[in-house]
Amino acid sequence: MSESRDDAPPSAGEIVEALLFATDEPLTARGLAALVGDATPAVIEDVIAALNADYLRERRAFRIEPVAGGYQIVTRSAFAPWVRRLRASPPTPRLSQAALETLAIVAYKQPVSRAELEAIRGVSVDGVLRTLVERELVTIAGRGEGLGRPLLYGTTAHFLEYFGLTGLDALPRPEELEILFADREREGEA
Amino acid sequence: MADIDPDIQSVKLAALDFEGPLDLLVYLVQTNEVDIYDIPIALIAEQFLEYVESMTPERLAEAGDFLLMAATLLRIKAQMLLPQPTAGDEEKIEDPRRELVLKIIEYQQFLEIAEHLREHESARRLVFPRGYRDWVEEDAAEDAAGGTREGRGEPGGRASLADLLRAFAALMRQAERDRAHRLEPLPISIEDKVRFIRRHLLGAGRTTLRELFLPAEPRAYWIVTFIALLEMAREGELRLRQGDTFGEVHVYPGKSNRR
Repeated sequence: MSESRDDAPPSAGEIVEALLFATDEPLTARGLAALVGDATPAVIEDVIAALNADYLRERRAFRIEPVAGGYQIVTRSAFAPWVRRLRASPPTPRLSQAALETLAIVAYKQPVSRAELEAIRGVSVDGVLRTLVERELVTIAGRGEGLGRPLLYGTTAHFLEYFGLTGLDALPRPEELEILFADREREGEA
Repeated sequence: MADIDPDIQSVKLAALDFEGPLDLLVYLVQTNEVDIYDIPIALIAEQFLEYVESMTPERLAEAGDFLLMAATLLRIKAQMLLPQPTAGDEEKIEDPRRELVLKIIEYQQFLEIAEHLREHESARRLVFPRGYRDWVEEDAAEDAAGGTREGRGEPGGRASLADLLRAFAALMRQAERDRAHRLEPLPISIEDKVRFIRRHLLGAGRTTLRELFLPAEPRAYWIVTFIALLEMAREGELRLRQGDTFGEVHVYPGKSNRR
Protein backbone atom coordinates (compact mmCIF):
# COMPACT_ATOMS: atom_id res chain seq x y z
CA MET A 1 0.00 0.00 0.00
CA SER A 2 2.92 2.35 -0.66
CA GLU A 3 0.80 4.66 -2.83
CA SER A 4 -1.45 5.57 0.06
CA ARG A 5 1.36 7.56 1.64
CA ASP A 6 0.08 10.62 -0.27
CA ASP A 7 -0.20 13.53 2.10
CA ALA A 8 -3.86 14.46 1.40
CA PRO A 9 -6.57 11.98 2.45
CA PRO A 10 -8.51 10.70 -0.58
CA SER A 11 -11.57 12.71 -1.59
CA ALA A 12 -15.02 11.18 -2.02
CA GLY A 13 -14.58 11.58 -5.78
CA GLU A 14 -11.35 9.60 -5.79
CA ILE A 15 -12.92 6.86 -3.67
CA VAL A 16 -15.95 6.60 -5.95
CA GLU A 17 -13.63 6.45 -8.94
CA ALA A 18 -11.65 3.65 -7.30
CA LEU A 19 -14.80 1.70 -6.43
CA LEU A 20 -16.26 1.96 -9.93
CA PHE A 21 -12.91 1.16 -11.50
CA ALA A 22 -12.63 -2.04 -9.50
CA THR A 23 -16.11 -3.37 -10.36
CA ASP A 24 -17.63 -4.44 -13.64
CA GLU A 25 -21.23 -4.46 -12.41
CA PRO A 26 -23.19 -1.26 -11.83
CA LEU A 27 -23.03 0.13 -8.28
CA THR A 28 -25.97 2.12 -6.94
CA ALA A 29 -25.58 5.60 -5.45
CA ARG A 30 -26.79 4.16 -2.16
CA GLY A 31 -24.26 1.31 -2.31
CA LEU A 32 -21.47 3.73 -3.17
CA ALA A 33 -22.49 6.02 -0.33
CA ALA A 34 -22.32 3.12 2.12
CA LEU A 35 -18.89 2.10 0.80
CA VAL A 36 -17.50 5.63 0.91
CA GLY A 37 -18.67 6.01 4.48
CA ASP A 38 -19.81 9.51 5.40
CA ALA A 39 -21.68 10.34 2.18
CA THR A 40 -25.31 10.44 1.09
CA PRO A 41 -26.58 9.15 -2.27
CA ALA A 42 -27.15 12.79 -3.29
CA VAL A 43 -23.50 13.59 -2.57
CA ILE A 44 -22.46 10.57 -4.62
CA GLU A 45 -24.50 11.82 -7.56
CA ASP A 46 -22.81 15.24 -7.34
CA VAL A 47 -19.41 13.59 -7.08
CA ILE A 48 -20.11 11.51 -10.18
CA ALA A 49 -21.26 14.57 -12.12
CA ALA A 50 -17.99 16.28 -11.15
CA LEU A 51 -15.93 13.24 -12.19
CA ASN A 52 -17.69 13.14 -15.56
CA ALA A 53 -17.00 16.84 -16.05
CA ASP A 54 -13.31 16.17 -15.36
CA TYR A 55 -13.24 13.24 -17.76
CA LEU A 56 -14.82 15.33 -20.48
CA ARG A 57 -12.40 18.19 -19.96
CA GLU A 58 -9.43 15.83 -19.91
CA ARG A 59 -10.72 13.98 -22.97
CA ARG A 60 -10.66 10.64 -21.19
CA ALA A 61 -11.76 7.58 -23.17
CA PHE A 62 -14.43 6.67 -20.63
CA ARG A 63 -17.18 8.14 -18.53
CA ILE A 64 -19.42 7.06 -15.68
CA GLU A 65 -22.82 6.14 -16.97
CA PRO A 66 -26.04 5.66 -15.00
CA VAL A 67 -27.40 2.24 -15.85
CA ALA A 68 -29.85 -0.23 -14.32
CA GLY A 69 -30.33 1.92 -11.24
CA GLY A 70 -26.56 2.19 -10.64
CA TYR A 71 -23.39 3.58 -12.11
CA GLN A 72 -20.78 1.97 -14.30
CA ILE A 73 -17.60 3.07 -16.04
CA VAL A 74 -17.97 2.62 -19.79
CA THR A 75 -15.83 3.50 -22.78
CA ARG A 76 -17.06 6.38 -24.92
CA SER A 77 -18.81 5.42 -28.12
CA ALA A 78 -16.05 6.99 -30.25
CA PHE A 79 -13.82 4.08 -29.25
CA ALA A 80 -16.23 1.33 -30.18
CA PRO A 81 -14.36 0.32 -33.37
CA TRP A 82 -11.21 -0.41 -31.38
CA VAL A 83 -12.76 -1.91 -28.26
CA ARG A 84 -14.71 -4.33 -30.44
CA ARG A 85 -11.43 -5.76 -31.69
CA LEU A 86 -10.91 -7.24 -28.24
CA ARG A 87 -13.29 -9.99 -29.18
CA ALA A 88 -12.68 -12.60 -31.82
CA SER A 89 -16.30 -13.60 -32.40
CA PRO A 90 -18.84 -11.24 -33.98
CA PRO A 91 -20.96 -9.21 -31.55
CA THR A 92 -24.24 -10.64 -30.31
CA PRO A 93 -26.89 -10.02 -32.95
CA ARG A 94 -29.30 -7.15 -32.53
CA LEU A 95 -32.75 -8.08 -31.36
CA SER A 96 -35.32 -8.76 -34.05
CA GLN A 97 -38.30 -6.49 -34.54
CA ALA A 98 -40.54 -9.21 -33.08
CA ALA A 99 -38.29 -9.46 -30.01
CA LEU A 100 -38.28 -5.69 -29.49
CA GLU A 101 -42.06 -5.44 -29.79
CA THR A 102 -42.56 -8.28 -27.34
CA LEU A 103 -40.01 -6.79 -24.97
CA ALA A 104 -41.75 -3.41 -25.14
CA ILE A 105 -45.01 -5.02 -24.09
CA VAL A 106 -43.38 -7.02 -21.29
CA ALA A 107 -41.67 -3.88 -19.99
CA TYR A 108 -44.95 -2.00 -19.68
CA LYS A 109 -47.37 -4.76 -18.79
CA GLN A 110 -45.27 -6.89 -16.47
CA PRO A 111 -46.02 -9.28 -14.95
CA VAL A 112 -47.69 -10.40 -18.15
CA SER A 113 -48.80 -13.78 -19.48
CA ARG A 114 -48.03 -15.18 -22.91
CA ALA A 115 -51.72 -14.97 -23.81
CA GLU A 116 -51.81 -11.23 -23.06
CA LEU A 117 -48.69 -10.69 -25.16
CA GLU A 118 -50.23 -12.58 -28.04
CA ALA A 119 -53.49 -10.64 -27.76
CA ILE A 120 -51.61 -7.36 -28.13
CA ARG A 121 -49.25 -8.47 -30.89
CA GLY A 122 -51.84 -10.52 -32.74
CA VAL A 123 -49.33 -13.32 -33.35
CA SER A 124 -47.76 -16.18 -31.44
CA VAL A 125 -44.87 -15.13 -29.22
CA ASP A 126 -43.63 -18.61 -28.31
CA GLY A 127 -40.27 -18.56 -30.07
CA VAL A 128 -39.63 -14.89 -29.34
CA LEU A 129 -40.28 -15.38 -25.65
CA ARG A 130 -37.86 -18.28 -25.52
CA THR A 131 -35.16 -16.17 -27.18
CA LEU A 132 -35.77 -13.34 -24.73
CA VAL A 133 -35.51 -15.71 -21.76
CA GLU A 134 -32.34 -17.25 -23.22
CA ARG A 135 -30.82 -13.82 -23.67
CA GLU A 136 -31.78 -13.08 -20.08
CA LEU A 137 -33.79 -10.01 -20.98
CA VAL A 138 -37.01 -11.55 -19.70
CA THR A 139 -37.62 -13.91 -16.84
CA ILE A 140 -40.48 -15.63 -15.07
CA ALA A 141 -42.01 -13.13 -12.70
CA GLY A 142 -44.60 -15.41 -11.15
CA ARG A 143 -47.79 -17.23 -11.96
CA GLY A 144 -51.19 -15.78 -12.82
CA GLU A 145 -54.39 -16.52 -10.98
CA GLY A 146 -56.36 -17.71 -14.00
CA LEU A 147 -56.94 -21.12 -15.47
CA GLY A 148 -53.82 -23.28 -15.42
CA ARG A 149 -52.02 -20.57 -13.45
CA PRO A 150 -50.12 -19.26 -16.47
CA LEU A 151 -46.51 -18.17 -16.16
CA LEU A 152 -46.07 -14.43 -15.97
CA TYR A 153 -43.08 -12.71 -17.50
CA GLY A 154 -41.12 -9.64 -16.48
CA THR A 155 -37.94 -7.86 -17.50
CA THR A 156 -34.58 -8.53 -15.83
CA ALA A 157 -31.84 -6.26 -14.52
CA HIS A 158 -29.91 -7.31 -17.62
CA PHE A 159 -32.71 -5.79 -19.72
CA LEU A 160 -31.90 -2.39 -18.24
CA GLU A 161 -28.19 -2.92 -18.76
CA TYR A 162 -28.61 -4.13 -22.32
CA PHE A 163 -30.49 -0.99 -23.32
CA GLY A 164 -28.51 1.29 -21.02
CA LEU A 165 -31.64 2.33 -19.14
CA THR A 166 -31.41 3.75 -15.65
CA GLY A 167 -34.71 2.09 -14.79
CA LEU A 168 -38.09 1.21 -16.22
CA ASP A 169 -39.16 4.81 -15.68
CA ALA A 170 -36.55 5.87 -18.23
CA LEU A 171 -38.88 4.56 -20.94
CA PRO A 172 -41.43 6.98 -22.37
CA ARG A 173 -44.38 7.12 -20.01
CA PRO A 174 -47.48 5.45 -21.43
CA GLU A 175 -49.51 8.52 -20.45
CA GLU A 176 -47.42 10.59 -22.82
CA LEU A 177 -48.39 8.36 -25.70
CA GLU A 178 -52.03 8.26 -24.65
CA ILE A 179 -52.26 12.05 -24.51
CA LEU A 180 -51.07 12.10 -28.08
CA PHE A 181 -53.86 9.79 -29.15
CA ALA A 182 -56.47 11.49 -26.99
CA ASP A 183 -55.72 14.74 -28.82
CA ARG A 184 -56.23 13.06 -32.13
CA GLU A 185 -59.48 11.59 -30.92
CA ARG A 186 -60.79 15.03 -30.04
CA GLU A 187 -59.76 16.34 -33.45
CA GLY A 188 -61.56 13.44 -35.08
CA GLU A 189 -64.78 14.24 -33.26
CA ALA A 190 -64.64 17.97 -33.98
CA MET B 1 -57.86 9.74 -49.57
CA ALA B 2 -55.40 9.24 -52.40
CA ASP B 3 -56.56 6.79 -55.01
CA ILE B 4 -54.06 4.01 -55.34
CA ASP B 5 -53.66 1.79 -58.34
CA PRO B 6 -54.67 -1.53 -56.79
CA ASP B 7 -52.19 -3.52 -58.91
CA ILE B 8 -49.19 -1.45 -57.96
CA GLN B 9 -50.35 -1.48 -54.38
CA SER B 10 -50.60 -5.24 -54.13
CA VAL B 11 -47.24 -5.82 -55.78
CA LYS B 12 -45.60 -3.49 -53.32
CA LEU B 13 -47.46 -5.03 -50.41
CA ALA B 14 -46.56 -8.60 -51.26
CA ALA B 15 -42.89 -7.71 -51.22
CA LEU B 16 -43.13 -6.43 -47.68
CA ASP B 17 -42.75 -8.46 -44.56
CA PHE B 18 -45.04 -7.81 -41.64
CA GLU B 19 -44.67 -8.93 -38.07
CA GLY B 20 -48.33 -9.85 -37.98
CA PRO B 21 -51.82 -8.78 -38.97
CA LEU B 22 -51.74 -5.71 -36.73
CA ASP B 23 -48.46 -4.61 -38.23
CA LEU B 24 -50.06 -4.88 -41.68
CA LEU B 25 -53.10 -2.91 -40.51
CA VAL B 26 -50.93 -0.14 -39.10
CA TYR B 27 -49.12 0.00 -42.43
CA LEU B 28 -52.37 0.16 -44.41
CA VAL B 29 -53.83 2.87 -42.20
CA GLN B 30 -50.65 4.92 -42.56
CA THR B 31 -50.04 4.48 -46.29
CA ASN B 32 -53.68 5.20 -47.12
CA GLU B 33 -53.49 8.22 -44.84
CA VAL B 34 -56.87 7.49 -43.35
CA ASP B 35 -58.14 8.67 -40.00
CA ILE B 36 -57.60 5.91 -37.49
CA TYR B 37 -60.92 6.84 -35.86
CA ASP B 38 -62.81 6.59 -39.13
CA ILE B 39 -61.20 3.70 -40.97
CA PRO B 40 -62.75 3.01 -44.38
CA ILE B 41 -63.13 -0.63 -43.49
CA ALA B 42 -64.07 -1.85 -47.00
CA LEU B 43 -60.90 -0.44 -48.53
CA ILE B 44 -58.64 -1.69 -45.75
CA ALA B 45 -60.27 -5.14 -45.76
CA GLU B 46 -59.77 -5.39 -49.52
CA GLN B 47 -56.08 -4.53 -49.36
CA PHE B 48 -55.63 -6.78 -46.35
CA LEU B 49 -57.09 -9.74 -48.22
CA GLU B 50 -54.89 -9.02 -51.23
CA TYR B 51 -51.87 -9.32 -49.00
CA VAL B 52 -53.08 -12.55 -47.43
CA GLU B 53 -53.64 -14.04 -50.90
CA SER B 54 -50.10 -13.08 -51.86
CA MET B 55 -48.63 -14.97 -48.94
CA THR B 56 -46.41 -17.82 -50.03
CA PRO B 57 -47.02 -21.37 -48.80
CA GLU B 58 -43.84 -21.17 -46.70
CA ARG B 59 -45.61 -18.62 -44.54
CA LEU B 60 -48.54 -20.90 -43.84
CA ALA B 61 -47.82 -20.89 -40.11
CA GLU B 62 -48.31 -17.13 -39.92
CA ALA B 63 -51.26 -17.18 -42.30
CA GLY B 64 -53.61 -18.30 -39.55
CA ASP B 65 -53.19 -15.06 -37.61
CA PHE B 66 -53.76 -13.08 -40.81
CA LEU B 67 -56.86 -15.07 -41.73
CA LEU B 68 -58.32 -14.54 -38.30
CA MET B 69 -57.88 -10.79 -38.71
CA ALA B 70 -59.33 -10.96 -42.25
CA ALA B 71 -62.44 -12.61 -40.82
CA THR B 72 -62.72 -9.86 -38.20
CA LEU B 73 -62.42 -7.19 -40.89
CA LEU B 74 -65.15 -8.82 -42.97
CA ARG B 75 -67.41 -9.12 -39.95
CA ILE B 76 -66.97 -5.43 -39.16
CA LYS B 77 -67.55 -4.58 -42.81
CA ALA B 78 -70.82 -6.53 -42.73
CA GLN B 79 -71.89 -4.82 -39.52
CA MET B 80 -71.20 -1.44 -41.08
CA LEU B 81 -73.45 -2.28 -44.00
CA LEU B 82 -76.39 -3.12 -41.78
CA PRO B 83 -78.89 -0.28 -41.54
CA GLN B 84 -78.16 1.58 -38.35
CA PRO B 85 -81.13 1.54 -36.00
CA THR B 86 -82.02 5.20 -35.59
CA ALA B 87 -80.69 6.01 -32.21
CA GLY B 88 -82.98 8.30 -30.33
CA ASP B 89 -81.85 9.89 -27.14
CA GLU B 90 -80.42 6.52 -26.15
CA GLU B 91 -76.67 6.32 -25.69
CA LYS B 92 -74.66 6.20 -28.90
CA ILE B 93 -74.56 2.82 -30.57
CA GLU B 94 -71.05 1.47 -30.40
CA ASP B 95 -69.06 1.70 -33.60
CA PRO B 96 -68.30 -1.88 -34.73
CA ARG B 97 -64.77 -0.71 -35.53
CA ARG B 98 -64.10 0.52 -32.03
CA GLU B 99 -62.50 -2.60 -30.56
CA LEU B 100 -60.23 -3.02 -33.56
CA VAL B 101 -59.23 0.62 -33.52
CA LEU B 102 -58.24 0.39 -29.87
CA LYS B 103 -56.12 -2.67 -30.64
CA ILE B 104 -54.40 -0.92 -33.53
CA ILE B 105 -53.67 2.10 -31.35
CA GLU B 106 -52.30 -0.01 -28.54
CA TYR B 107 -50.12 -1.88 -31.00
CA GLN B 108 -48.90 1.41 -32.51
CA GLN B 109 -47.92 2.57 -29.06
CA PHE B 110 -45.80 -0.51 -28.56
CA LEU B 111 -44.25 -0.05 -32.00
CA GLU B 112 -43.23 3.40 -30.85
CA ILE B 113 -41.73 2.00 -27.65
CA ALA B 114 -39.98 -0.77 -29.60
CA GLU B 115 -38.45 1.94 -31.79
CA HIS B 116 -37.31 3.71 -28.65
CA LEU B 117 -35.70 0.50 -27.41
CA ARG B 118 -34.00 0.04 -30.80
CA GLU B 119 -32.37 3.47 -30.46
CA HIS B 120 -31.16 2.61 -26.98
CA GLU B 121 -29.81 -0.70 -28.22
CA SER B 122 -27.85 1.04 -30.98
CA ALA B 123 -26.36 3.57 -28.58
CA ARG B 124 -25.54 0.95 -25.99
CA ARG B 125 -23.74 -1.27 -28.46
CA LEU B 126 -21.11 1.44 -28.83
CA VAL B 127 -20.11 1.64 -25.17
CA PHE B 128 -18.36 -1.06 -23.20
CA PRO B 129 -18.20 -1.61 -19.46
CA ARG B 130 -15.17 -2.68 -17.50
CA GLY B 131 -14.41 -6.37 -17.80
CA TYR B 132 -15.77 -6.47 -21.34
CA ARG B 133 -12.95 -8.65 -22.60
CA ASP B 134 -13.26 -11.08 -19.70
CA TRP B 135 -16.89 -11.81 -20.20
CA VAL B 136 -16.37 -12.10 -23.93
CA GLU B 137 -13.85 -14.85 -23.30
CA GLU B 138 -16.01 -16.47 -20.67
CA ASP B 139 -18.86 -16.70 -23.19
CA ALA B 140 -16.57 -18.10 -25.84
CA ALA B 141 -15.24 -20.71 -23.43
CA GLU B 142 -18.77 -21.65 -22.46
CA ASP B 143 -19.79 -22.09 -26.07
CA ALA B 144 -16.76 -24.21 -26.81
CA ALA B 145 -17.40 -26.39 -23.78
CA GLY B 146 -21.07 -26.67 -24.64
CA GLY B 147 -20.14 -28.03 -28.05
CA THR B 148 -17.96 -30.87 -26.88
CA ARG B 149 -19.24 -31.37 -23.35
CA GLU B 150 -15.88 -32.66 -22.22
CA GLY B 151 -14.76 -30.70 -19.23
CA ARG B 152 -11.59 -31.45 -17.34
CA GLY B 153 -12.55 -32.21 -13.77
CA GLU B 154 -13.76 -28.72 -12.87
CA PRO B 155 -17.31 -27.95 -13.90
CA GLY B 156 -16.97 -26.59 -17.41
CA GLY B 157 -19.20 -28.38 -19.86
CA ARG B 158 -22.84 -27.51 -20.03
CA ALA B 159 -24.90 -30.34 -18.60
CA SER B 160 -27.44 -31.42 -21.17
CA LEU B 161 -30.82 -32.82 -20.28
CA ALA B 162 -29.43 -36.28 -20.95
CA ASP B 163 -26.57 -35.69 -18.53
CA LEU B 164 -29.02 -34.48 -15.96
CA LEU B 165 -31.26 -37.49 -16.35
CA ARG B 166 -28.27 -39.80 -16.10
CA ALA B 167 -27.12 -38.17 -12.89
CA PHE B 168 -30.63 -38.34 -11.49
CA ALA B 169 -30.99 -41.99 -12.39
CA ALA B 170 -27.73 -42.70 -10.57
CA LEU B 171 -29.03 -40.92 -7.49
CA MET B 172 -32.27 -42.85 -7.67
CA ARG B 173 -30.41 -46.14 -7.93
CA GLN B 174 -28.46 -45.18 -4.86
CA ALA B 175 -31.72 -44.69 -3.03
CA GLU B 176 -32.96 -48.09 -4.15
CA ARG B 177 -31.94 -49.49 -0.76
CA ASP B 178 -34.72 -47.57 0.89
CA ARG B 179 -37.53 -49.92 -0.07
CA ALA B 180 -40.29 -48.63 2.17
CA HIS B 181 -43.47 -47.75 0.31
CA ARG B 182 -45.70 -45.05 1.60
CA LEU B 183 -48.74 -43.75 -0.20
CA GLU B 184 -49.52 -40.33 1.13
CA PRO B 185 -50.52 -37.05 -0.43
CA LEU B 186 -47.33 -35.08 -0.88
CA PRO B 187 -47.14 -32.33 1.71
CA ILE B 188 -44.71 -30.54 -0.59
CA SER B 189 -45.15 -28.65 -3.85
CA ILE B 190 -42.82 -27.81 -6.72
CA GLU B 191 -42.97 -24.18 -5.59
CA ASP B 192 -41.70 -25.26 -2.16
CA LYS B 193 -38.77 -26.95 -3.78
CA VAL B 194 -38.10 -23.99 -6.08
CA ARG B 195 -37.88 -21.85 -2.96
CA PHE B 196 -35.65 -24.43 -1.32
CA ILE B 197 -33.27 -24.46 -4.30
CA ARG B 198 -33.28 -20.64 -4.47
CA ARG B 199 -32.35 -20.43 -0.80
CA HIS B 200 -29.62 -22.96 -1.35
CA LEU B 201 -28.18 -21.01 -4.27
CA LEU B 202 -28.48 -17.68 -2.47
CA GLY B 203 -26.60 -19.02 0.51
CA ALA B 204 -23.75 -20.80 -1.19
CA GLY B 205 -23.76 -19.13 -4.62
CA ARG B 206 -23.55 -22.60 -6.15
CA THR B 207 -24.36 -26.13 -5.22
CA THR B 208 -24.34 -29.63 -6.61
CA LEU B 209 -27.15 -31.89 -7.65
CA ARG B 210 -26.25 -34.25 -4.83
CA GLU B 211 -26.69 -31.58 -2.18
CA LEU B 212 -30.19 -30.73 -3.35
CA PHE B 213 -31.46 -34.28 -2.88
CA LEU B 214 -31.63 -34.67 0.88
CA PRO B 215 -30.88 -38.27 1.93
CA ALA B 216 -33.52 -38.16 4.64
CA GLU B 217 -36.32 -37.35 2.23
CA PRO B 218 -38.62 -39.93 0.68
CA ARG B 219 -38.00 -40.47 -2.99
CA ALA B 220 -41.22 -38.75 -4.00
CA TYR B 221 -39.67 -35.56 -2.65
CA TRP B 222 -36.68 -36.13 -4.87
CA ILE B 223 -38.92 -36.24 -7.88
CA VAL B 224 -40.49 -32.92 -6.87
CA THR B 225 -37.00 -31.49 -6.42
CA PHE B 226 -36.05 -32.77 -9.85
CA ILE B 227 -39.10 -31.22 -11.52
CA ALA B 228 -38.41 -27.94 -9.72
CA LEU B 229 -34.83 -28.11 -10.99
CA LEU B 230 -35.94 -28.69 -14.57
CA GLU B 231 -38.46 -25.87 -14.35
CA MET B 232 -35.86 -23.44 -13.01
CA ALA B 233 -33.31 -24.47 -15.62
CA ARG B 234 -35.89 -23.96 -18.35
CA GLU B 235 -36.65 -20.48 -17.12
CA GLY B 236 -32.94 -19.67 -16.97
CA GLU B 237 -33.04 -19.24 -13.25
CA LEU B 238 -30.18 -21.64 -12.84
CA ARG B 239 -27.46 -23.18 -14.95
CA LEU B 240 -26.29 -26.77 -14.82
CA ARG B 241 -22.72 -27.80 -15.45
CA GLN B 242 -20.98 -31.14 -15.52
CA GLY B 243 -17.22 -31.60 -15.31
CA ASP B 244 -16.84 -35.14 -16.55
CA THR B 245 -19.29 -37.38 -18.27
CA PHE B 246 -21.14 -39.12 -15.44
CA GLY B 247 -19.47 -36.65 -13.07
CA GLU B 248 -21.04 -34.43 -10.48
CA VAL B 249 -23.61 -31.97 -11.83
CA HIS B 250 -23.04 -28.46 -10.50
CA VAL B 251 -25.86 -25.98 -10.09
CA TYR B 252 -25.30 -22.24 -10.51
CA PRO B 253 -27.72 -19.33 -10.39
CA GLY B 254 -28.76 -18.19 -13.87
CA LYS B 255 -27.53 -14.79 -14.96
CA SER B 256 -31.05 -13.43 -14.94
CA ASN B 257 -31.39 -13.38 -11.18
CA ARG B 258 -27.88 -12.91 -10.02
CA ARG B 259 -28.77 -9.53 -8.68
